Amino acid sequence: MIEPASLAPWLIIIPLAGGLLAFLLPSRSVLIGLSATVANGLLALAITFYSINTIPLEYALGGWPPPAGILLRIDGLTLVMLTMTAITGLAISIYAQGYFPARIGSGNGVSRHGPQQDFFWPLWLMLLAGLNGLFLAGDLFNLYVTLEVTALAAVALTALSGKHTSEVAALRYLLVSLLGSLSYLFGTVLLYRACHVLHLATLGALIVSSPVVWSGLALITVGLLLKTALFPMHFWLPPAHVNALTPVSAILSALVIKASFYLIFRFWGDVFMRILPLGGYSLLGGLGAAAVLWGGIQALRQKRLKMLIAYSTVAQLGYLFIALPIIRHDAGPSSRFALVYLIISHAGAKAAMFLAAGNVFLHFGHDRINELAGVKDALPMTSFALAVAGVSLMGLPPSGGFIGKWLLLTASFASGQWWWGIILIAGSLLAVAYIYRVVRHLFTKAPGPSSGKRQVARTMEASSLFLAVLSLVMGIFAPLVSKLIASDAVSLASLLAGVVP
Amino acid sequence: MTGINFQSGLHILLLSSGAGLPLLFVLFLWWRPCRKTVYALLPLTTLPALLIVLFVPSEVVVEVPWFFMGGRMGIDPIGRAFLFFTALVWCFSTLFGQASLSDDPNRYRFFGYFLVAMAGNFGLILAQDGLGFYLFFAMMSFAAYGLIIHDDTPEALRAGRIYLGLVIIGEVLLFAALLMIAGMAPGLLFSTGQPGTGGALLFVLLFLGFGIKAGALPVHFWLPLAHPVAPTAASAVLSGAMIKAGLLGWLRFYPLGLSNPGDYGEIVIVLGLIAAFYGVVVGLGQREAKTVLAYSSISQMGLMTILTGCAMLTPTYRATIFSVIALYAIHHGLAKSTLFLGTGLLKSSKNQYSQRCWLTAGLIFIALTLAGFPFTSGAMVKTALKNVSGSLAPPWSGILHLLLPLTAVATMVLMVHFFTVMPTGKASSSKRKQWREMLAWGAGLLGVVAGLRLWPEAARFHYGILDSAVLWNGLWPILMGSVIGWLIHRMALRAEKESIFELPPGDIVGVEGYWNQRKIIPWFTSIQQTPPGDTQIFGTPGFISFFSKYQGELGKREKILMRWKVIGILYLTLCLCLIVLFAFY
Amino acid sequence: MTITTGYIISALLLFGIGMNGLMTCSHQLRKILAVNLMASGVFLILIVTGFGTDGSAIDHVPHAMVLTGIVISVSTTALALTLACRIQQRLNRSADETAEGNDDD
Repeated sequence: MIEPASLAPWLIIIPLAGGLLAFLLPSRSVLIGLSATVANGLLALAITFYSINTIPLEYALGGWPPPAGILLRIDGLTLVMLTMTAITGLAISIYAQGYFPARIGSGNGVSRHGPQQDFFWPLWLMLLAGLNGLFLAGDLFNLYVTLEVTALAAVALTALSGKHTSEVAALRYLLVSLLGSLSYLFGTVLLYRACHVLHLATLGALIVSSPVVWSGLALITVGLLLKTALFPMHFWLPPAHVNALTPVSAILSALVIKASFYLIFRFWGDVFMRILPLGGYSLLGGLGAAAVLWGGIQALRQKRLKMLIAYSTVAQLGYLFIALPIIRHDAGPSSRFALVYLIISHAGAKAAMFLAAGNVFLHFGHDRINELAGVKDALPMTSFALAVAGVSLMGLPPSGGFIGKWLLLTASFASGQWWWGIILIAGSLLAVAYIYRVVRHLFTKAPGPSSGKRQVARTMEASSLFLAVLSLVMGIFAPLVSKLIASDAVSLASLLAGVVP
Repeated sequence: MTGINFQSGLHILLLSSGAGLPLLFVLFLWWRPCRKTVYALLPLTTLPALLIVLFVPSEVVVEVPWFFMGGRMGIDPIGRAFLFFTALVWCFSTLFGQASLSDDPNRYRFFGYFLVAMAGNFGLILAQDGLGFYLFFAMMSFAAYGLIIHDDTPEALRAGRIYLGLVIIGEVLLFAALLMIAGMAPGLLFSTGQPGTGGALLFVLLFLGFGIKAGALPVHFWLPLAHPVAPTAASAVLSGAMIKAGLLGWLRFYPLGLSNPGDYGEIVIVLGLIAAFYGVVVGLGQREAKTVLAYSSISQMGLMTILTGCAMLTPTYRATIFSVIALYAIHHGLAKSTLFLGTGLLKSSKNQYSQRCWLTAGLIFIALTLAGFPFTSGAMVKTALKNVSGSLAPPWSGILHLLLPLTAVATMVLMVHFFTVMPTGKASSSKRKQWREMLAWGAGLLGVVAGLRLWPEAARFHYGILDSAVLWNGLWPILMGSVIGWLIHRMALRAEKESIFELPPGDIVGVEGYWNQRKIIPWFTSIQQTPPGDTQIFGTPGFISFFSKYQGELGKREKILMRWKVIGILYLTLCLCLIVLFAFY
Repeated sequence: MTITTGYIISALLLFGIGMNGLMTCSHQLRKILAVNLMASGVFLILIVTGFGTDGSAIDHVPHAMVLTGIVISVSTTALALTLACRIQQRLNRSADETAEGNDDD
């Protein structure tokens, strides 16, 4: 029987090697890319099922102990994030496998679609390696390195479409990302000066409040907020997500954003929870509430489908931040579970929406919301996927979004923080309104004959539907996820109990 | 020992397949190779539910912790009554739909929605906790949208849109109600028997949230729009079975959530009374048979609403009144669905004189049943209703004693009107298909005749005694109703119209022009106006253009946030804020 | 101690100047340079951290971090420069020929 922790490095090695291979052999890049994502998915599932009863696990690469060696750490949250990335990534890869040939085949005299495919697979696999590494990394500095790897690959992917707007958006994304990661690195250095430790768990136990630690944590947090595009620092997100190629938009909003939020959750919900100020939680929650409202209102007024989806991401990110103060005041694991559920169900629903929007764009050549009539007849699976993903975003049962919001709401009322509950409900109403804007057009008849110009492959429609349905029926996986998160909460409680002042 | 284990295992299997089997069938309908076989086997989907009613004892409860935050399934007395007629109605309608849609190109899609709605309907009856009920209720409500818009006509799409809007509003209201209840009753179990602590707000949320499904005033207006446009099999289940899900919701959640349900009992009774007569009056202004039936449903649901109010007023008799409500639901569910099926059959029976005769005879029988003709199930529930009203406190017992016979008169008047607008056969279909449809309808008719007699609790109410007073009590409302109905018909004939006055279907929303002028509909939906032609004009809903009024303003605000300098200031401010918060922690 | 303080102050200054440049300069190249300046500030503090506050043994961990950081900084700068060049080229070209086909997403 293989030790599950020793499988963990392969989660980084497989995509990294696959990325290099795909770069060296462009003619085989699709095959390499697909097999690497499939292998990654199987591996993530295998690790999850083998280590579910033994977490948390640690694995030192090459047997070198920290601080010089690299330590991989697996706990419940890591497993959830890895599995989410693997499954969503696999569906997006299957989509991409149909997407690039469709664009190359459409042949409107532009030769840039071939290179797009050649570069997509290496970059995407690098990104996957970065994400897996980020979720596995057990110390502050490796988190920085993986954060940068992720950001570099993400920026390059954003620029991949080769249009002027996407290049401008990519450069802006890169600069913001650099500001964020430098700020993070600065904070890391300050924390290291204070404690001389990088290993997260040890740091969490050792750390003592002091001005250096305060500024370190403040820099780390704000840097990550910038990278997570929390309102009012979300300005870079809509242009970058909208102007990218469809599979890239899905990757960015479903996975990359979650990477930096994962770090915030790690730090605020776990490692540094002991010393972080209550007011800080309220501040983040308040910004989250503002994001929910602002993003929702902005989504309402957008004219293009992809823009609407991007602003919906801004709004949905708000929910994740609202969960932080509730977690801080909630003794049980149910609010942590709710947050994790919101993360994964948003990943599925948002990726599905972007993929479906890409199908609409490919077929009609535009994504103007007011001219979407007749999508139902031309692309039945796609319109169904949009509707189903919309239901999940609104948070209607039995979607994962419902479970997340429901648990958060009950936790917020139970802990007397009813105002968060009201924001959650208001955000859901806004979501109903902006999703309704899209759906009512989808299911009306086209006034004239269909104006579609390109065929959309069945796999592309099916992969978006798969993700949408997955996020809708997530209730079934709830016990598995809750078991993982509950085991985290136990270790967190011991951490908090050990050193509570 | 093993025998007992085997038996309980069987019970658990039955309970989980009540909603599970229809869902399983949906999956197979999707899978092309076995579609045809599955289509032929469709009526089997109702079998587990019927078996549950017959064989599963009340104390068996299935706990499904792996499913959606944990669920409980079981069958209590009230659930058994509801499942009894619900399963029968779905069974007859499946048989009917299977035949009548057998050459519809979209039949697999239709039955996909049909089965999901069926699973939701069975599931919500079996669910023993609030969240499970809500989940299945939502599943049923959304799937029903697919049934309403099946024909893809402009009317169907319009009805579907209005229905969907109401469903979403209802879901939000119920969600809020559920949250409030969750705060006071952890686990949301129906069986605890402890009253909640909810007040007027919770009552309003529950009344409207479930009232949308139950066709209660003032959220009834989707019903007369949706029932006529849906395929016959769908209108039968909408009016016969699904409408009662709202009623069951009231019965389940009022005791669970409200601290003192009696406070609101009188309001409920008054609303029910208004609905009972309102449905009849507006129904008289309709010219489409299925619309008339839908208004009759609103009126009949009004009577059940009155009973609900009675149960709230007198908690001591609650169990008895609940069983009377169940009887009424069984009676109306079976009768109304069979009426719908028969009307659908009449429409497709051109040039078949003998068949039309049989159909009309059967329909007249059901209509008499609804009005409470002696020896029918209608007479039984009338007797039961009278017993209930007798047990109320003074003002209400008198009022109801006076008004209840009048509702019977009103029902009869509406039924006469229904026969005057009865559809003439417009099309004819193949013999074989019609034969199968007739069979399904005949089974339904048998259900109307025998259904309530088979129900053990019904035996408590003496209905069949050859007593002249009882007979007269049953007969005079019918005679009076027939005469009034006939007079009204004469007046209409003399005025050379189909009905004495004409009202648009869906009364409130029917007069769209009025609401349009007041800019109320456009504020919520995209409909600017519905021209007589096929095309629909879509504009921007008011609440969105409300935002677009500030479009420039919002865009400007958003642009400000895009400036680098602003980002820098925000960045530094946030850093400082956090440090300050640290310092004061 | 004073030397360390001096280094830290100049590192903070570098970070601040870089930050100011990123926010206020409009030219892309300047922005990229400004980010590099910020990175240098952070690296400087890291080196000072390795120097050891009590003057005893030198801590190697910060040095390893600086090396890694520099590698990352080089690659990010390369990517940023490439993007900036492409944007500039595109601007120059579209100044010449304004008819640029905008075919799809």
